[in-house]
Amino acid sequence: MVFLEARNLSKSFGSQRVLHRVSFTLEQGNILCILGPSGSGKTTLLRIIAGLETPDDGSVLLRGRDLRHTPPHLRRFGMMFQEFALFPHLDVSGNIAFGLHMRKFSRAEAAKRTAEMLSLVGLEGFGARRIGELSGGERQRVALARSLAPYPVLLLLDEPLGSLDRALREKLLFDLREILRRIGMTTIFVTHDQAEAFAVSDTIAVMDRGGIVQMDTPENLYRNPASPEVARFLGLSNLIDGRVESASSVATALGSLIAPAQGLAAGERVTVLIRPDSARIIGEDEKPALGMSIIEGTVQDCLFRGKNYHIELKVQGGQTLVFEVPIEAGSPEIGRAVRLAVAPGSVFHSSR
Amino acid sequence: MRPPGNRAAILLVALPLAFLGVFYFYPLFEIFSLSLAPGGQWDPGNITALFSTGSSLRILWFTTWQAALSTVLTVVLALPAAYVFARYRFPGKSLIQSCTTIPFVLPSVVVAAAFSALLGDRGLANEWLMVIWGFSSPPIRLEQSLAFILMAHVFYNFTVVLRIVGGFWSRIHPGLSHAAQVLGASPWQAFWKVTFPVLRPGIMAASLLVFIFCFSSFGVILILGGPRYSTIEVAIYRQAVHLFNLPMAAALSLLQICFMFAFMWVYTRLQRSASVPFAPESLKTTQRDIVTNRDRVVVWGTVFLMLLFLASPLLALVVCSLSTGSGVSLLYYRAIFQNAGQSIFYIPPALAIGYSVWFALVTLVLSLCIGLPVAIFLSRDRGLATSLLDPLFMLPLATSSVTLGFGYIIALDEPPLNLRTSLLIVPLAHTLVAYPFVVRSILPALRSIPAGLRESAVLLGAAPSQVWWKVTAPLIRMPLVVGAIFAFTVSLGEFGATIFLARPELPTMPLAIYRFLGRPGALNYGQAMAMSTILMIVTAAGFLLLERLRTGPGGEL
Repeated sequence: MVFLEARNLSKSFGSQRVLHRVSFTLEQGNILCILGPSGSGKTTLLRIIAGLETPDDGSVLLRGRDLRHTPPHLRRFGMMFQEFALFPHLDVSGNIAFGLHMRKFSRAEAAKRTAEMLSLVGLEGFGARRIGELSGGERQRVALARSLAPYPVLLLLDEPLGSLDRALREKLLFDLREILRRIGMTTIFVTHDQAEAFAVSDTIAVMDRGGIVQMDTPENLYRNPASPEVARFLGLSNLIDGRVESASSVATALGSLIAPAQGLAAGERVTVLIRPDSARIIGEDEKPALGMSIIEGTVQDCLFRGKNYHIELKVQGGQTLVFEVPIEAGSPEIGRAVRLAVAPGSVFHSSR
Repeated sequence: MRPPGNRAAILLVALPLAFLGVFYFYPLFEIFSLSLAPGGQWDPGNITALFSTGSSLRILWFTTWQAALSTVLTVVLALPAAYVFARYRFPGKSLIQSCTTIPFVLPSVVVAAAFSALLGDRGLANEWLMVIWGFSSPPIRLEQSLAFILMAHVFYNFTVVLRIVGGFWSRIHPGLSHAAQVLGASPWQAFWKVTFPVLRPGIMAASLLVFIFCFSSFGVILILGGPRYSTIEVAIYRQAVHLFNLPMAAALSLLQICFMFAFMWVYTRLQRSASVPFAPESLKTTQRDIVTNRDRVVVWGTVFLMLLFLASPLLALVVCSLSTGSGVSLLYYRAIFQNAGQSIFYIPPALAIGYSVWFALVTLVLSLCIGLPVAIFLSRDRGLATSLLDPLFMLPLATSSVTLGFGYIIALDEPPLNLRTSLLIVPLAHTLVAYPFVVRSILPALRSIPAGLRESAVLLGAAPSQVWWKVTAPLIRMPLVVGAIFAFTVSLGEFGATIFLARPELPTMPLAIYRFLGRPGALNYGQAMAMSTILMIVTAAGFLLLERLRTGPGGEL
């Protein structure tokens, strides 16, 4: 049986439409990541699932049971807030035990569970600390422990790493994934950072302007973005307009590119995505490998990134494309004309 | 930055210190000696009598529990409004907030007159009920009742809770309550287990402040309570003026001084913990716009009820001042300016307006003369002297004006300082009440001027006096004006000290209103209403101007 189902959720604040007919399902034990730019409605979606907002239309079902009339405090979900929302008048133990007291655990049980949670998040001995004395990373751990303590059936994470600095984020992301996998927690994770989404989730739902535009595994999503918007949001920004020539090529301002255009009529307007990785600088007369296209352009900028060079290439038609090229070929000189061999990308129908 | 020499600094505070010594500590000392040694001999009989006679124990008890009850009522009634102001953005919010503060700055006499105009025996509500339902006598009998006093106290102090608790609340992340709910707390539990405890320092600070104001309430109780109700303040007045029992009045004053100092001490301690909530949030994350219909009902319903409660007494005051037996007219206003034969002052009441303005202007000048040097001194020296002198100069704030007035009549009535008949005695007392506000409005501005500003002026060739006139003075002009307006309005409405000090033929406006209210007849009542309306308009206008200056460019407080 489907564990959690969102059916046609819609929500407006005044005249502003925040969610429009959002549906998805989630299996027990899976981690779903809702990825979207700010203002895409992802936090509202999470708050509706938690019961903190009421949808204008649609419903949330837990194991087939409609939660419409279940207030947040009876849903038995755990939630971690963006700013952690730790209770400043209670110490660390008090925060973690709060949900246990609310759910009428005995004192002894609550103390045992609190100690368990402290060791789960690696904060043994922190029980008596005041919240004000904790660092950002410690607060994040307390917030996680607090939301997990009362044995929630579903964990909701609202940008759980959003308010931390970059270095800390990567370490805590790793820990978070480790903890969630270990206890097999069903989780919905909201973020605007695709790296976080790729690192943690089994499934990613990309949201844009109040709707889910694509939902798939991280690998499939990266390989086959469903639209130029999704591609752009995943950091794939080399998008070129063109017309279909044949089932395997598209005419663009850069010349004819090899691209999978099966099923599209010749002459149709499309957008081609060229992947920034898998590009290689080739010599004047060198022939590209089979199935690769050639792009010519002038190097505008070149950054050494350790594993590769990040180059900005100005191509015919005036567009600037970005590529990551291997370092073996040596540093591309700024201002020099180069030839690149690129792999066929995706083709999007540009009917809209 | 220290001033060039210590001598300059000492000169700066010499005059204010002398003023404080003669016009504050000397009267205080006289109160001590009169209560503890009435005949020049040590005799604590009056003090022990305070705690052994039934009547004074009753006064003490009533003072305490009416203040406690007023405080609880104010907090309970203002909490919903504090929530709305803390959690929502809505059009007109800052204006509405400014308006809710008007009752707080009104003279107590005006507040008493306004409640009398709304709900008194001769008030609007009764008048309308008698006309519409044909009652033969006023159906609402609130005059000289506890309910009347409580209502006036809530009206007065509503904004204290609204501002302090609302400000505190607006800095607390709404996620706290949501987090509690997701963890299994019902909305009710979430409030009591999380929101309330987090809010507690703010509520405590606001409550204590309201309690202090109600504990030392004088005008409201004297006018609305009638002879049945007496707080310590009212008892001091009655013992001194009606019964001429000066030692008893002194003993009561001593008691009041001790209470007030104790309360103020607790308050300053509390305030430190209440001024900044844990990890304050920006208003962007804690406040939201009105979106749903539920929001609309909550916000506008609360604002409507609040404004209804706060505005209706003041509107009733204006209506009463204009409605005469023969319809709407300016009869009462004209009467103020006539020297009628039956006038109770033997002079045109309008002269009271003149005296008030005159006293207020003198107070303004004196307050600036005292307040400005104190502020400059406190802003420059950060050593031990400042940390001792700052609270010392604020002491008059913790002293009720009734004890001050009483102290003046027992201390300043004999040579070399016989000011009993001097015109100056009223503005001197007012200055003591007003100058702390001047200090408090200028000091932050002075302290916010970076030292580098003055130093670079010096390096550019400015002499110390030029630095003052070209750099410092222009930067504190606005706070100076704010302090001046404060001093002026405080003086205009001052009642507790003035009632002891003003000569019968030189009444101020609050005194004239008080006397009019105590007389029978529609004309006297109407003139009380008219004069209260004038005083209300002047005070409210002064306050709104002050708010504009404070929030406008260059001003901060």
